[in-house]
Amino acid sequence: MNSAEILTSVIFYLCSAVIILSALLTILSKRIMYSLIFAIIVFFAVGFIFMLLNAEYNAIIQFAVYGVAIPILIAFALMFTSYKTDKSIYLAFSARLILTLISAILFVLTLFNILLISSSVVDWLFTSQSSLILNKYEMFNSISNGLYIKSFFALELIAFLVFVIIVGFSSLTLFKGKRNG
Amino acid sequence: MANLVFNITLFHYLILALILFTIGLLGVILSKNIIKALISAEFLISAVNINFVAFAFFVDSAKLTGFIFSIFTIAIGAVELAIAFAIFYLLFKEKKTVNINDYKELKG
Repeated sequence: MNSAEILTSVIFYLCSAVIILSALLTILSKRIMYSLIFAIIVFFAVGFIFMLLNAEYNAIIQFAVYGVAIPILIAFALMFTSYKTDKSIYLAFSARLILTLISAILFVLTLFNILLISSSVVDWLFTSQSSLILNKYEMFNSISNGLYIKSFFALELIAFLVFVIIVGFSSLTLFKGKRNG
Repeated sequence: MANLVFNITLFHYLILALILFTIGLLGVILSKNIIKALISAEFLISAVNINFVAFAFFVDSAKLTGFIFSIFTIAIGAVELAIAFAIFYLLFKEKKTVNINDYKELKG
């Protein structure tokens, strides 16, 4: 075991701890602005996990979209809706909380069991199988080929979807404004 | 044991994604604030993205289909959040509250 593997594992455990703690604090924070800050930390840590997996392309998109764009959107939503603060809005402490926690524990245990069972069927789950390690240029080339040649129609579909949503939302807001006026 | 701890495999990434997905699911179900529920929904998408990228790296390192699909998922997640906030803001103009329990007519 060389020092690079140890460094990778240390970074992985650090990012994992940050992700889990920040995600929990996002849910448990009473003030919604603190939730947003912890969520930004989660999104950036997920980007670092992508970098550990040699996916710099995805990491940059994660930083740009989830690290910057979406928090700005959420911050504007908070500003538009914060003139009436309701301190009682926190978590639903009721029978729903207990039932949800029990369901979540069962969910985790079931999927963990499935993972352990599948590890006896497939041999690559516990071995770092990477038969073909691409360098940075080959990785970028391969992703670009897949994105702009192989999955070209999917990419165009996503772009068209974003365009339709932007136009649709704008017209919806205009329609609503006229009706209110 | 030390090999399992220091040799990061696909199993580690799947467990991390499983924990993040569960926390997001708890947030969506338990949060009474609509904005917090939507942030938790983004955790679900991030967990799925970790799975996509981890599988692409460990199993499909030649074609990298998981990497490409992860980019599409990020775009869909951003669009979904924008739409959700748009609908929420239009509803907020009527109700003036961010409490999920006040939007009971959406149950159908």
